[in-house]
Amino acid sequence: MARIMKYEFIKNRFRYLVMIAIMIIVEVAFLISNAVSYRISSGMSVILILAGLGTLLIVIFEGIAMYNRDLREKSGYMLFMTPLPSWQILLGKITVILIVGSALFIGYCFLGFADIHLIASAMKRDDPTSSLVPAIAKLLDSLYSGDTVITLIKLLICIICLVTYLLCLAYLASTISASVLRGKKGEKLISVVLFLALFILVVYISSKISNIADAVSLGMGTNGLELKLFENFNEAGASIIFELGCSAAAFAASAYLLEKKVDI
Amino acid sequence: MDFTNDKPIYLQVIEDITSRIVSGEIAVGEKLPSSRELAVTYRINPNTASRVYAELDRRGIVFTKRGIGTFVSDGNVSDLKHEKITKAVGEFVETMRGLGLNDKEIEAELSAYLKERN
Amino acid sequence: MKIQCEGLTKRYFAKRAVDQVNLELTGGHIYALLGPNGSGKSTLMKLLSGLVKKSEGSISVDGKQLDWRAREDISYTPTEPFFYSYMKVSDVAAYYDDFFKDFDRARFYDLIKDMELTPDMKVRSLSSGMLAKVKIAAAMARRSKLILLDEPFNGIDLLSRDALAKTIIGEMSEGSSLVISSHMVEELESLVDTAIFMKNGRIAEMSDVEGLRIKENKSIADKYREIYSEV
Repeated sequence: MARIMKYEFIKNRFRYLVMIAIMIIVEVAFLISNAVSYRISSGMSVILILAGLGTLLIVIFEGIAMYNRDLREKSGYMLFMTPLPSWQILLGKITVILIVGSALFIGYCFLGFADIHLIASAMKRDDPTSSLVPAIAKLLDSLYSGDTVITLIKLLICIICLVTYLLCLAYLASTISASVLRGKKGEKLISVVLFLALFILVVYISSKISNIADAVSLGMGTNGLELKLFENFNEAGASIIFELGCSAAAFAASAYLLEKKVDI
Repeated sequence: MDFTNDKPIYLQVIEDITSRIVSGEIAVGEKLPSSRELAVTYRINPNTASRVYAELDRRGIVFTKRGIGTFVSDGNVSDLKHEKITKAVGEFVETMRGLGLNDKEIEAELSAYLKERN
Repeated sequence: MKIQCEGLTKRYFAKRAVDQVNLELTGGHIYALLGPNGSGKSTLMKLLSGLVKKSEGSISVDGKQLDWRAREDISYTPTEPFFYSYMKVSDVAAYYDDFFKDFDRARFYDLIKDMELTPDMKVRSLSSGMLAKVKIAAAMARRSKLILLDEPFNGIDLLSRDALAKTIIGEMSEGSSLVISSHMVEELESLVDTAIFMKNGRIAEMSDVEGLRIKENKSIADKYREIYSEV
């Protein structure tokens, strides 16, 4: 499996470098604007968040598209002629996407922390009388007083869980459509529709079990700006377990189909 | 080497090798290529190449020393030459007869041709 | 190594690409898999390599049902370019070395050198003739028990074909088997010992090349015409 992961990295190395380059460019732009005025840089921080979300989405989307290429294009022979069972091939691919996604997430979190500090000091420099100065200071205090690291780990777990079941469901949809509709027109469309149906079903059932969305909120509280993360994480746990169960089932079904039914 | 479609390939290769032995291109006692090398040279199947040597061995044209190689036997070259001559003359005579010549006429044609060539 | 197919069938919807094939392949042979386009040659090869999954019947390798483990010993080389586009010749060697225990890297580089190619060449920018050479070198540098070459001479000039055929003969390991598919029958005439003729997904005939010449005074090209010209 390590060998599969190695070549998934090598195949995508250029894309991953571009993503790191985007991260660096956006951060440099932030630093320059922050030197000019916090008003510009606080706007820039939104771009940083969007870049983070965007690259994460691209990693996931590319991961799904890559698997579809492996199933349909000639280069798939390279992957599937290896003497490895299908589950190892699939697990290798998914693990690489999760590692890259997590690395990007952690990278952006680091930058986010550093940038909040930079904005706060730029605010003191540019506009010392603003009412936002104490609010930001309080927010920073709360970030360090609370178990922020634990909260972020919880968030990372949630994201990994979300990405895992997104990937597993998408892989299952692609695998089913490849095994049933081998080479027919509309195969891709069917796999997209199938994926959406599976996704909505899982999200619906999951929301009935408990609500992860409620676990995250950002708003003005009595102490100023308040970021609430996972106060009811334990409750959300049931959903997470359900989603991971669905991922495992989808993964097993994909591996089985790939081994027995899908023609390369 | 180009092979004809009507005869087994191993026989065609044997023809070629024996001709080269008779002409002296391959000397008596000379070590022949391994059967794999033979296959590559003639662009033939390795099993066909093994069959060539087995058949040459059976006819006493070559002998194989285990682990050392295959060599051209010294005993049979004159027989082989004689055999080839008989075969070539036979074919020539058959062709001439096919053209309606009798033995005397064949002899006359042959001497005339040889005289002219020399 | 012995490969046995019994009642092997592959359906694509209503079409039977491979239909009730019974076949036995044993070690030490070079087989020609012959037939016009669409006769099922490629599908049969992909079935044997485990890339295409059977609809009915069985494929066994030394008595065991074929599964992913068979890819350790069976190599399949498709007609189309299939190396990753980022790869140089040296990356192909590294990839094969990483995944296949039977791959002999030194032998691969020797073959590459003989073919007047260099390790730093980009696979993507090779001509079809050069790419065919890299594919043959990679396939033959694996000491697989069964090597499946799908139309290896497609789109290659006469001299290169000759050189490739010689490489194949010279590099074939003792006791292993080779299946070469082609619609250019003359090309395989002297190279193979057994010819498998496919027609509409079925095996129309399986002939020993020399036996055919001895018994019927026919080459496989003659036999080919006989089988496929009757309508």
